[in-house]
Amino acid sequence: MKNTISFSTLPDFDLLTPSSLNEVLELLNQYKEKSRLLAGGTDLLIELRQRLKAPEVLIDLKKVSDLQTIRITDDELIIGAVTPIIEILTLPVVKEEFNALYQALIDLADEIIRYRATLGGNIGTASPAADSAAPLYVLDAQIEISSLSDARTIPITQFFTGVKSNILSTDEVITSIRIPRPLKGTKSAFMKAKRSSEDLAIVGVACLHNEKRTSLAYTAIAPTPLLIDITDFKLEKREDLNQTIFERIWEKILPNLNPIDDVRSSKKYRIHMAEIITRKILKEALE
Amino acid sequence: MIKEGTRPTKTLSVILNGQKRVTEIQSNETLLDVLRNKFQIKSVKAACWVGDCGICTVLLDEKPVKSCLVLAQETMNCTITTVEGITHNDKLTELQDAFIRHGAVQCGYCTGAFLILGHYIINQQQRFTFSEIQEMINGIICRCTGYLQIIESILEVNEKQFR
Ligand SMILES: Cc1cc2nc3c(=O)[nH]c(=O)nc-3n(C[C@H](O)[C@H](O)[C@H](O)COP(=O)(O)OP(=O)(O)OC[C@H]3O[C@@H](n4cnc5c(N)ncnc54)[C@H](O)[C@@H]3O)c2cc1C
Ligand code: FES
Ligand code: FES
Repeated sequence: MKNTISFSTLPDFDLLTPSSLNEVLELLNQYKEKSRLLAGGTDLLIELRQRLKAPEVLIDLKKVSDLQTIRITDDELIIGAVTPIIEILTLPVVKEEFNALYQALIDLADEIIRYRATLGGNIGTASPAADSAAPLYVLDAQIEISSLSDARTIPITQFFTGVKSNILSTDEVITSIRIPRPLKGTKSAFMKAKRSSEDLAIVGVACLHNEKRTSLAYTAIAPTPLLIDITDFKLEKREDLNQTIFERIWEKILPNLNPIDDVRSSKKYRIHMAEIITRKILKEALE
Repeated sequence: MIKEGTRPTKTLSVILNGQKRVTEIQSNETLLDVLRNKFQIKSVKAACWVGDCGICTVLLDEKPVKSCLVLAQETMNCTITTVEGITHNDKLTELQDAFIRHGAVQCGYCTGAFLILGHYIINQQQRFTFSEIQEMINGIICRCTGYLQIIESILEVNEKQFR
């Protein structure tokens, strides 16, 4: 493992501070792979310090107010990509209707980090352990992406392409995350296993359950987050989840899991915790 | 790739602890680097440089940040507060006094960070519970006290505000 303490300075780069989305897109178009977008910096500055990336310019997104709005309409919640996580948490509807997202964000990093860390940055890093990914998967989030020449909206399930890689090309920026308002009576939740209060997850699990659909999503247990639909098991109430049914559900999930051994946990323990949390989160959703 | 150390300098102007301060900086310097090396603010310490320990916490435009994760350039024309800026006429604040009485200072390495965060919590003018304060301070590591004394100090001053 690299000794981060020896990296007491950052490498050289220029910081550019555009004040509108259009300026961001023009700069991205000009610098492409020579640039990196800077939101809260709570992932990027660490990667720079560890010399994992060497951009010539950083394009700071924090002065672009259009990227920091958060809105609820009749149909959806629209979160500007650069909205600090602490602000997302203050909107009551997030807890009321998007509980899985609320639970993931309230426990993401620590309170001081949440003042700066953003939702766009959390998925932008495309870490397999990104806490927001599991709730965004079960909640059917859409990612809005722009470049100078184009704009597109893709489902979150297509965003992650591998460990720390995503579908963005070098001239694209995430502008917002759109989440449809779930059906009345929907329950959603997120739980994770971790070593200490501010450590990355050993495994993260989100669940969504309503009269039409039951699905689970996992982080930190495969190169990208995973979405698994278990509607076919026709779970309606707590009693439906007996040992036999749970074993059949787990048989469906297990072949998809492909965790690594690392400092946080062994593969075996990750899978063990995934099973325990899956059972617990399903039980609670069916209460 | 640009060779390290070849960037031109820029002029940074901030309001640090109530006073306008100006200095030359390089684009890759963090707020932590500039506070300690250019402005000689030594209450701000560092232990990890990667956002884990929280020892480098300061207030940026009145909100807590880990200064090793903030580029100095990003703070252009911003307000920065460190422990040096919370005392009036060299008199200890109520929170500093509570830290001493509760034994919330042992080796002292983390004290600047907890005091500035505690100062922020108290300035919210909102009443917090023990567990809320516990949650709010969990981004800073203390290897000596076990946290209880720190939480109790903040709680005591917070409760007094509502008596
Ligand atoms: C102490 C500590 C604890 C942490 N704990 C957790 C945790 O518990 N769970 C967790 O999931 N994460 C954790 N993290 C990681 C990090 O805080 C989060 O991933 C955070 O959400 C990143 O957001 P940011 O705004 O700081 O991103 P940045 O660091 O600014 O950016 C991250 C990446 O995304 C790209 N990017 C940013 N914004 C956009 C955009 N709008 N469009 C396209 N690309 C973009 C950047 O170029 C960069 O590659 C932790 C970090 C620290 C330092
Ligand atoms: S030195 Fe900044 S968090 Fe550790
Ligand atoms: S008093 Fe020693 S680290 Fe906190």
